[in-house]
Amino acid sequence: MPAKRSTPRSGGSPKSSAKRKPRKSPARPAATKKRSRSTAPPRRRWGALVWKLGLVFGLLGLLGVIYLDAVITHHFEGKRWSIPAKVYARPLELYDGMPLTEAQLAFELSLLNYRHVFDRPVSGTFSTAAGGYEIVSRGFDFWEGAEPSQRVRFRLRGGRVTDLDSGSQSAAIVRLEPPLIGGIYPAHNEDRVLVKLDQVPQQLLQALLAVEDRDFFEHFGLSFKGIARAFYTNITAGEVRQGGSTLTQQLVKNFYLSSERSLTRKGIEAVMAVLLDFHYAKTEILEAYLNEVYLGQAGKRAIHGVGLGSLYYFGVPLRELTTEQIALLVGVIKGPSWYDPRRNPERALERRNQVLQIMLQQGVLDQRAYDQVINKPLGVIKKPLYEDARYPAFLELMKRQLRKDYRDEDLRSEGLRIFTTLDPWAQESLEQAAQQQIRNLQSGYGKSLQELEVAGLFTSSNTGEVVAVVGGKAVRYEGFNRALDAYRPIGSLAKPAVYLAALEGGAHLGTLLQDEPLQHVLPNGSVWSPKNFEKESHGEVPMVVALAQSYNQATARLALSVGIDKVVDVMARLGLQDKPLPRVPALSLGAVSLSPYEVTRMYQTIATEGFATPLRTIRSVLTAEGEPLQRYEFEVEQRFNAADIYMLTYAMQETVRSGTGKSTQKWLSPDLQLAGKTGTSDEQRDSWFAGFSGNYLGVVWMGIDSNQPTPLTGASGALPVWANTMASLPQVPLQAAQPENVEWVWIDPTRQARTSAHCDNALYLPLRSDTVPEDKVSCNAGGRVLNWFKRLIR
Amino acid sequence: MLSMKAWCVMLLVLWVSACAVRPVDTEISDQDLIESESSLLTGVPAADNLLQQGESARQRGEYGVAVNHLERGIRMAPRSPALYLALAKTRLAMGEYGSAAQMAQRTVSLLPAAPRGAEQTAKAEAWIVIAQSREKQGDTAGAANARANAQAVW
Repeated sequence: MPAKRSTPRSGGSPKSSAKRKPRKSPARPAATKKRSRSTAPPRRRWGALVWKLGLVFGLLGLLGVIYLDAVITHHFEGKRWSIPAKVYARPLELYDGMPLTEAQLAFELSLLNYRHVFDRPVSGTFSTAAGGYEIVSRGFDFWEGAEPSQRVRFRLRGGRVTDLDSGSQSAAIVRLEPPLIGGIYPAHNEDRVLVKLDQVPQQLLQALLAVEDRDFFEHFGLSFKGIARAFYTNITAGEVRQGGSTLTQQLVKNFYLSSERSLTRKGIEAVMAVLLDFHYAKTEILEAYLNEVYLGQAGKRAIHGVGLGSLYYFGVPLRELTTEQIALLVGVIKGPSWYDPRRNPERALERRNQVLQIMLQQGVLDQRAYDQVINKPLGVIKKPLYEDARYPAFLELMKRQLRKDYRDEDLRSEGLRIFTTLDPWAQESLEQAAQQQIRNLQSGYGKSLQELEVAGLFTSSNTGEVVAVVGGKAVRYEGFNRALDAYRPIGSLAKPAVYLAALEGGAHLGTLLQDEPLQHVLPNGSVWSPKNFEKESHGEVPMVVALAQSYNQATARLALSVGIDKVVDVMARLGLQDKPLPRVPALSLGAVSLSPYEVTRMYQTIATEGFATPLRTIRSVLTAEGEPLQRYEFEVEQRFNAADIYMLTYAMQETVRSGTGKSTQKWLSPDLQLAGKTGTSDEQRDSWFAGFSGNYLGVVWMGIDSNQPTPLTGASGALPVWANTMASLPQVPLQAAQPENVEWVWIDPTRQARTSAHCDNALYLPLRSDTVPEDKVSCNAGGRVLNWFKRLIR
Repeated sequence: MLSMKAWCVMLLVLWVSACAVRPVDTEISDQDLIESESSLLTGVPAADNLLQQGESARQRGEYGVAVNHLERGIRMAPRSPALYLALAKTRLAMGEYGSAAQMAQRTVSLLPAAPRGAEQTAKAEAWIVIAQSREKQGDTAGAANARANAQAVW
């Protein structure tokens, strides 16, 4: 086959032999002399030489063409592009009873670039009429298969979706497409979203051909008509307005050749264009062109192909492009940087109008359609729909989990689609709360907190799905991720492990502890004598109060009586099984450095009622073709008796109700019965808060990277970030199911006996059945506990 | 098979209504357990819809699809024992016994200490899932224990 096509090339070689012809005749006699044995007549011998030389050059040309042919077919038929993995946030699911506020809905719609319209919405738009919403989703390929575009009407009442109607089905669920939040790019940083030819609007094809290559369907890869027309246009216009290259040539150039400008390269390009045209259908070449074409630059990321171009400039999929947007997209091809509509809007507008004019001239548009759009604005969204660095801290955690199962190479090239658990609303809420608190503290404390940093992690408390991660106050900065990599002393966040160990060992929340100074001699001879934060001691206090008020001395004594090995064991079961923990008494007061991620793992186990639940960032992975590849399933493993966790949770609820976490009530209703714990490390270098509701768990840290002391406690630093974030999320009250072996009883802690509700010092506490005191006493006057209890209530 | 299932369900209902003191047969076959449908609802209609889709997918043997529906349901009703139980049965059907037993334990932890009606059935079923998973893993004593717990529900 290539032989036939090579004729024009071998036709070029006679040129060189012709050059030598004049020298032939003078040489002839000499040659005759020298080669006297030769029998052939001189003229014939020279003719043969010319013929042979021609053959050699012809063969060389032919070999060249065969080589180019192999290059073309190999590349065109193999995998044409490295497609970056695409990462999606969780989709918004709409159903009756779903908690959703107007603010969140507005945010979610803007994230997906749904346009607000005033007439009947079409795909990718919504209207708000008569107190209700009408949205037409775009449709998306989910794990279970394609979900078509759906029209849905609903209302928002009392923070919930009501009267949802999507047509026929009852108890309907409508999913919007998940927002794209990032990608994992190949080394050359080319990004694209592949499209098939039938997904490309007809008008875009017509406009592209009208502008770039009118004879595309007629020519053989090169167009002399096109060259002539470009020449004429450029001469008459006095500037370069058109290039003479066909789409095929442009594709060859981008696909196979360097950007070097030389005649040789132009020649090779022409040959390859002809070959490509010879081998493949026009539609295949056109499809490849549409996916290859370079359309812009987003930082390191090169925007290729009309599929991504449409998202990048207009925030909508191809099929939603309007005429003037199509004209702009086609116009930009000529010089994506020069005509960049974001940086050079005037130039871009001029170019777009030029394209519209060509479309009019070529009959793609009629006069009426042209008049309708020629004065329209560019229609470009201010910021690209997804900035790659929007949620870098979450993506980092997700990538670490993903790299356990996939090779880097596959992530960068196979076009995998990764569906994550990120909840953009929760993420933005956490970011805003964190940044707001940093600003407040810096304005309050001035210079000493210039370097103050923050990190946090939120999960769905029942499933361990990570919904938000912040790795520092510069939330868009892909740098040191404190949520994962800052290991800091956890202070009192360790205490629940001590109390849990004690509860497992048979203590109950009414057991009395001594909050008094202690001197514990360590094996190395040094003395451990922890102080309370307020530098005073509180005498005898029941366990529930000691945890709620976060008393150090009471906790230290408890840890020593339970045994530090038990505390280490509880911490390991809570989620730190891979972490070497220091077996020292100070562990009980948080002398262990953990990352916010590790702390989240511990508290996750408490929030899921004693069931260790892996923190997940990925739900599933699909191939580029939408085939399910892998699911990351929800797993649980029971590590604690439900009763012990139930009691511990009650003490943590008491912390929020009346203890060190009570300031949460500035932001959150007591009806939510939140559970939490503050943490402050030595010299207030670290400020922590960890806590959960019936549906969200969050851990927040604040401190300075260089470990400087701060004026902050857990309650004044991290707590407001946690509380503000929780307050922006739809909350479900925390109501754990009461385990069989738990009883609620009135306890008189001073006498370690059951008592009656009306007694002054009675505490109503959940106790594990086997720890309920047998004795029952009548009312008894006061004691130290009473005083503490009264102070709490006051 | 269907009639067998109906028979089992009827028996369960009878036991519930009779509040029987006499020993109850907890030897339900894997097949029947896996095929049984939850009469317990989630409290969220959309999640009920997914529960129902998940259970029919499981009965068709499309376990991956079932798990997917049920996990979606759990996101909407994250403390619904019905969904966790359905997930436990699906894992049992998939032969993932460790995971099935854990999911069933979680089901138990989400049900009230003294369940009534559909919750009672669910709790007994969860213990039977645990018993059968333990049996499959060779833990006869643990299985007997779980069966006793199932028995104690009534």
